[in-house]
Amino acid sequence: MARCSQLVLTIALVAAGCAAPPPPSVQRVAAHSAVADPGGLLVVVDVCVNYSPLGTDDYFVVANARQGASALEVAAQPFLDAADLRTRTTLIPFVCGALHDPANAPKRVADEVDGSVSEQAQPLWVAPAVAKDADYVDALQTLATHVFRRSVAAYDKDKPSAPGAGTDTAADDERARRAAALVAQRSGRSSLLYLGVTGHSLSSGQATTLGAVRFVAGVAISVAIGPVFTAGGAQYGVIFVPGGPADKRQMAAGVYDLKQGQLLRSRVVGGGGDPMKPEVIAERNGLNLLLRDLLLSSVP
Amino acid sequence: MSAAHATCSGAARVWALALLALSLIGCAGITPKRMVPEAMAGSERKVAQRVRVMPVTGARDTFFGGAAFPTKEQFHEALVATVEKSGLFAGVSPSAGDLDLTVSVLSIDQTGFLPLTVRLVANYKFTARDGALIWSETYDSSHSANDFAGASRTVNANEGAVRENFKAFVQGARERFRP
Repeated sequence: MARCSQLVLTIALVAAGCAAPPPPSVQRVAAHSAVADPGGLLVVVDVCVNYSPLGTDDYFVVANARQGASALEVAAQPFLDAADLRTRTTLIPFVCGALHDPANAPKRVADEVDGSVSEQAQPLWVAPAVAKDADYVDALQTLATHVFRRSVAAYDKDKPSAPGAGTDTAADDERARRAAALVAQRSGRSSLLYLGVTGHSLSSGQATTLGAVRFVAGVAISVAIGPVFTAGGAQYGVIFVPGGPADKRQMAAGVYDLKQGQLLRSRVVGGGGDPMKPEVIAERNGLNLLLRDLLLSSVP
Repeated sequence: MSAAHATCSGAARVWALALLALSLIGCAGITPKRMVPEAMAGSERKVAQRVRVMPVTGARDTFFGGAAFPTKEQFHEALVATVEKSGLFAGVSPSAGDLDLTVSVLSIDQTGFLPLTVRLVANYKFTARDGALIWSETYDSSHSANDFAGASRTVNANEGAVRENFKAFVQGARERFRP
């Protein structure tokens, strides 16, 4: 049996190695026509970071989200410049702008880690430059929510949708269109690039506890499986420690045509790393791949 | 005798495993020379301007044990050699010229295993001394390799993707600066 599987593996490797690789390809690409419009691009950066301390409930942290948003803006600049998208305005209008739940229930929030926690509906912080224009903030939030939800829904299309989700798509589209008209009028731009990051960070105490729990679970699984190899009277087992990265982040991004009132493209990428650190939020390689897929199109 | 035999047999096994590991890993590295396109046929006449090739920006950082990508220095060296080899301009230098050539690596990534494919998107800009933009193009190239040794596969796919991109750039520049 073992010899048979070795033979199959060898044949598979040889077959894979002998198969001709696809021929090299090259094409000229340029910014998508909607974002290359002379009206220019409005870049909206929206970061939302959740923190899990040991012993109390999670809360969102404003200071780290703002630092992450600034770092993300800086990291995106070289790509946008090189792609000749120089007619643009970048806004960091809020923290946690895209709504997490339709009812916008109050969330636990602190200005900084270990700061005093209060309850507040989203957005959890509004930039002073736009705070006075409540309609503009509301329109930006509506578009942020629309792009974020649609991106994630497209990404999760194979998963069963949550009860009540996606039941009012037409109304949602119409709300987004109205918001787009207002954003176009206020910003003077013809398209919008939304870069939204949500992250979850564990405190060191939480991370240690989680690590210990995973190790104990791994030992329990090992004991349940029993030894996998016996030689010279000694028994050998393996320990499989379950679980992925403790800290997580997800970036959902999309390009919205403000003139046509239409979401053109969207992408979602996920990753590990502590989202409380700005350099993790603004991880350049992942961001560049996302911007490539969103902003560039082949030129015939 | 049996102890010596066991020691020899153990050592032979270690050597065999080491050789197998070496054959799988390979020893090659990314080389700028192999990133220069081989054939770049074009007009014999040169553009009477000299080009300064600016430092390349946006190349990915690599780390020990991670995926290999060309460094910005390797990109730059290969680009200078490519522009020189193209014979399109009166002179090419990293320090002085009538035109500045700026290259930004917008993205580079690896996908697959056998074959392994590297995809590179790079933007090329020619600017005049006063900073005015003369020409800007972006090319998206990909190259796959299916060498058995993992390192050779990575190296060949990376070098091939850069080569294809440079080839397209030279062709585009030749059309723009047609004498």
